[in-house]
Amino acid sequence: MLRYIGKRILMLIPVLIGVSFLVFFLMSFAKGDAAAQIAGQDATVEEIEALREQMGFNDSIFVQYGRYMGQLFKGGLGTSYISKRDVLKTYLSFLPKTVELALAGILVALLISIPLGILSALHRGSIVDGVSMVTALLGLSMPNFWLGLLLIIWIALKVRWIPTSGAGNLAALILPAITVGTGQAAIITRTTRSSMLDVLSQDYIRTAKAKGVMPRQVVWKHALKNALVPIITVTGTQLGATLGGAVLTESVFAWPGVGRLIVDSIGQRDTPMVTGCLILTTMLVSITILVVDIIYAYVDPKIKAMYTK
Amino acid sequence: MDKNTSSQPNPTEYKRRSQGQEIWRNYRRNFSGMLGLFLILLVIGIGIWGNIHYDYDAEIVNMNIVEAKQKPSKAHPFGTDEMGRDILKRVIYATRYSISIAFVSVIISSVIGITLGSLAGFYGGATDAVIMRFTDIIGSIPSILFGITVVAAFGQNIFILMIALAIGGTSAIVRVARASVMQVRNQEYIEAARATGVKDLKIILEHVLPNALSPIMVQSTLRTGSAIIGIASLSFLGLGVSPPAPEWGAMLSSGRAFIRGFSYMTVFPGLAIMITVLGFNLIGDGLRDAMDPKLKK
Repeated sequence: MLRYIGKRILMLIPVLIGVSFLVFFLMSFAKGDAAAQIAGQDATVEEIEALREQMGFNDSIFVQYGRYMGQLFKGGLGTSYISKRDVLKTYLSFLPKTVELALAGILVALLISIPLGILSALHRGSIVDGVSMVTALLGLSMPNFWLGLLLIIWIALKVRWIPTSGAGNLAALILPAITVGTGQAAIITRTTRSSMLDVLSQDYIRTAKAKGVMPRQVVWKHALKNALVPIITVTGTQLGATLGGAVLTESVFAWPGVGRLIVDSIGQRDTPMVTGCLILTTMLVSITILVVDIIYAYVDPKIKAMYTK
Repeated sequence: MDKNTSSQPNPTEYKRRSQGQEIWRNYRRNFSGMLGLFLILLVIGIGIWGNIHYDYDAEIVNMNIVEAKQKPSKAHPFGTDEMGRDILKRVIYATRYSISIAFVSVIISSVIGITLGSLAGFYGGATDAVIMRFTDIIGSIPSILFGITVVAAFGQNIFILMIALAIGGTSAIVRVARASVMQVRNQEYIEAARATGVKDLKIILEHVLPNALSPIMVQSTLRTGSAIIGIASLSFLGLGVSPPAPEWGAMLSSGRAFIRGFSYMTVFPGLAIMITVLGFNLIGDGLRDAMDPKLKK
């Protein structure tokens, strides 16, 4: 198991280097660079040019990337062109809000989707099933940021104590969490339903029913446990996606998360900040997925046996 | 596609049908699939009608401050925006951007995705490793952030938007194509083709792909829906289709400033996105059921 985890982490390294290369080069194509932003509006052309020379923007992109990688291997993600602050520290200062939103979102998603998915599977073809499947499909087809706007119209503009934006208190978390969570709930509900349907038609469920196990126990202990692997997979992927930055939800609710930081940095042509943040985001998302894979092993002894071989 | 079925023995009690006809026969019986097809044809039909019927300069982008911010009425069923432009007309006209960008980007990502995916799946080994690491790199950057970076790098125009969405969507198609080619690769008929000296390219094109196509087509259809959300998202952030051209996401973005008191501005463009994406999702689900009845739940 440990060897497997080690191998997965090693495999991450080329991906991270690839991401840094791709992002760094894409950013080099961007019109304008950070020099004009740093020098300010009153700067003369000569001043900007001098700054450009000083910051090494006139070197070839390969030299610049080489310099970046050199510093990366020394263990630092560098400093922002604009704020001069350490990239890692800046990222870490935005991360808690992103984690808060991601966890609250997935909690909303699971509270809605697991019961709904199970009910739909148990009463396949019933009204409950129909309504929940139609709702899930609508949720899947709805752009997340539009749902956010609708929630502002329907709830925040009517209920006084729920703010339309910001991240000051717990009340401010409600709408962003619902926005993130309902989109995920749609996907998880569908997966839960189909996974449960798969399991419910298995022989061991019939056996359990036949030998008189309580229906409630059949569902929770025998069926759900076996249906859990695909549910954990999508939950993990969804959680990973929000940890990568719920850019649009953050934009709608002025939520100060990592997504905003990256979008703003792209706008400012702050290459070290963008590259560094995307490296960290990729790491975070990949580690989330790795953790999910490890959780499988505990849920499903069949998979655990595969690792220990 | 015809070749596969027609080369098989053909029992007399079965009517001879191509793979395409077979899929359509199954698909036709699927209510939600047909509903999806109807929605998409309706959206495209109204979109084309609007683009022929409306005058872009006079009716779509022309300011008319006198009629600004009117609530939905008989004259303006969806109301008017802050510039006095009819929101219904703009929503209809905007169909062209979303549909065309989505279609082109999905075609590009399908071509790239199928090519890379089948090479990786068919040859395995080093080819597979290189292609899949590359896919991992693209796939690990959140697609919206990738789109923003590409637009920042190459400028904000429709062509760049298509490319940005296409590349962002490729990795999902590569993975699906690879997986389904790998399933087919070791079948006996592929081995037979190889034994008789058929060239690799011909084997992939004529024997492997047609039999691996169903999941790829389903994935591409679902991608079309995500591409439409992608376009709207980028435009909502001010990085997609530039104003004053109407685009659903851009309309939501400008309506957002007037959400207090004029919330209708943010309702209708979103509804248009949802209906269109719903249509593609229904078609995707329907295709999946039609192509593989085993999966039907």
